[in-house]
Amino acid sequence: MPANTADAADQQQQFEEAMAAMIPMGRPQTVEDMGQAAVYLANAVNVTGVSLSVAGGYEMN
Amino acid sequence: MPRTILITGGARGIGRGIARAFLANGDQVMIADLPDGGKWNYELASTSDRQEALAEAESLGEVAATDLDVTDKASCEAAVQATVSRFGGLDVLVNNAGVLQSGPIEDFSERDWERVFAVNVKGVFLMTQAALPALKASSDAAIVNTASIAGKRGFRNLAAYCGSKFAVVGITQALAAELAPTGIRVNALCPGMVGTAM
Repeated sequence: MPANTADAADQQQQFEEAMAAMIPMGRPQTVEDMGQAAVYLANAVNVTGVSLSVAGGYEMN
Repeated sequence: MPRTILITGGARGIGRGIARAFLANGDQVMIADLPDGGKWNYELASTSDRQEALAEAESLGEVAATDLDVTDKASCEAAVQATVSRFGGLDVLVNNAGVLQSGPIEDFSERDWERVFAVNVKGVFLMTQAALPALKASSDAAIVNTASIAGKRGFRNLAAYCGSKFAVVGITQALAAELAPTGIRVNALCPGMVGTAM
């Protein structure tokens, strides 16, 4: 369907379906996923220099 | 003990989610974002975004908001000062503000290239420099940089964005080594596919 005929809900559904097919954990990431990881990185007392992917397994290193 | 967290780009999207998570953790949060949009190829955060984020966050804990343009040194210093004035110190800086522009390299404008690097890379430098005196005064300080999985591998049509996020990963590693003796930890968060405005 052309983008200019899809309403916001359709676009969101298409995004989620495309992401589900591509990402091992089967869904796109949420801002809550990012909040959880940011709090972890701020609190982990002996972790530094790390680049932590929060990507449902889409990017593993 | 609650810590004070300064989150750049905290009015929308990932930054707003990060603000909520720290508030739920019992921390105090300063949301720093553009006062009104700024010129870019799509809508940036507005005053109303920030008011909305603030109203939502106020039900969760101690939160305030301040103006910030991360590409402006004086603005970065003012945001840190506002945080210290409001909460008495600063423990965690979250360098989250970022912009994205995609497109084939042949057609990519010099203006867009410079803007992506000004916000995503120089912004991390200016904010970190501005925050360091306050972070050094904290007994439990950390910096969290929002990079991206685009800072771990290349994606087509994203040369500027990938380049800027690889830079954030490099800056994170360099500062982690440099600031370790001060006790300040520096890490990067690499979001995958988050479907929010940035």
